[in-house]
Amino acid sequence: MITTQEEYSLIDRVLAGDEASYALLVDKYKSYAFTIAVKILQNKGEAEEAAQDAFIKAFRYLNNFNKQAKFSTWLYRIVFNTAISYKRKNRNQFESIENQIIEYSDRSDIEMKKDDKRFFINQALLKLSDADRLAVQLYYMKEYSLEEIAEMLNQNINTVKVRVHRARQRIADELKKILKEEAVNL
Amino acid sequence: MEKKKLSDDILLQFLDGNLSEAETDFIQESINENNENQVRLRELEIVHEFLKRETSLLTPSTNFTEKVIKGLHKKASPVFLSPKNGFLLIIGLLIASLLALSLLSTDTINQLQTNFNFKDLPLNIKNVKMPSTFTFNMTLFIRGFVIVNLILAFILLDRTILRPIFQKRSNMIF
Repeated sequence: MITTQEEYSLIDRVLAGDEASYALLVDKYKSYAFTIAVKILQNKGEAEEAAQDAFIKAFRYLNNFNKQAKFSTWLYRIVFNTAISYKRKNRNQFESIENQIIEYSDRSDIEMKKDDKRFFINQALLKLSDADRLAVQLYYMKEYSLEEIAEMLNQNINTVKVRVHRARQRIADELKKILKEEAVNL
Repeated sequence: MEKKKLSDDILLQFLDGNLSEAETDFIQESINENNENQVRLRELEIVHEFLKRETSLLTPSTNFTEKVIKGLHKKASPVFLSPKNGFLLIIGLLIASLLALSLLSTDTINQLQTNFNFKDLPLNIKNVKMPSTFTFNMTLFIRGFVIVNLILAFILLDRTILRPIFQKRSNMIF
C-alpha cells in the first residue's frame, strides 16, 4: 500500500527520469484504469489499449500534475477522456456494420436468455449515457467519495448525485419496460 | 389510512442507508402500508443489489505494465486505412479488374501484342549485349494486373474490414 506522500515522491522520481518508479504507479492503478475503460467501451481489448494509452499520456503530462488533487483522480480523468475518444473514433468506423450485428444478436439473445436478470440489467446499463453509467458504477465501487467522482468526471458534486440517482431510476424503468411485470418477480 | 407514495429519491436514499434512524422507521412504515411503494422499492432494490454485486474491479492482462513502459517513448504509429476507406479502395480495385477483364473479352486486345526490335534503337553500346527482340504480351499483362488487384482487394478486405470486426466482436462484453 502506497501512501499519498510516497506517491508524490514516486512522481518526483519519475519526473527526475526514473521510469521504474512509474511502473510502480502503473501497477497500483492499472485495475481501476482498466475497469473504467471497460465500463465505457464495453470491450476488453479496446479498454486495455485505451488504459495503456492513458498511462502513456499521463506520463507525458506528469509535470502538469500539481499535487493538489490525488494522482488517481487526475489519472482517471485522463482514462475517462481517452476511453471516450476511443469510443467516438470506433463508433465512426464501425457504426453501420456494428448496428446490424447488435440488432441480430439482441434478438437471438433475448430468445435464449429470457430469465437472465444480469443480461437485462446490462442491456439497461448500456442504454445510459457514458457519464451516467460511469458515475453509478464508480459510486458502487465504494473506493471513491462523491466529491472524488465529481472531480474525476469534471462535474459538480450535485450533478454527480443526480446522475447516480437518475441512472438507477432509468435502469429500473428500463428493466420494467423489458420484463414488464416479471421484473418484480425475478 | 394508506401512506403516501414515496419518491424514487427517498427510496434510493433508504437503500443507500443515508437516512437517520427516525427517517428509516418512517419510510419502512410507509413501504409496509403502501403497495405501490413496495413494488417500486423492489424494482430499485434489484438494480441496487445487482450494481453492488457486479461492480467489481477487473484485472487487465499480466503484461499490462510492461506494455505501458515500452510505449512511453514510442511515437504514435501511422493510422492504417479506416474500414470506410478500405471499402472504397476495394470497390476501386474491383472496378479496375472488371474493366481489365472486359478488355480481355474483346478481340482488340490481341492486336496490341508488339515486338520491340532493339537493333532499331539509336544506341551504340559495344560492351553491353542486348537482346535483339522483346515481346510484350498485353493479354498476359492484363491477367497479371487482375490477379494482383484481386490479391490486394483480399488483403484490404482482411486488414481493414474483417479483422477489426472479428477482433471487436471477440472482445465484446455482454
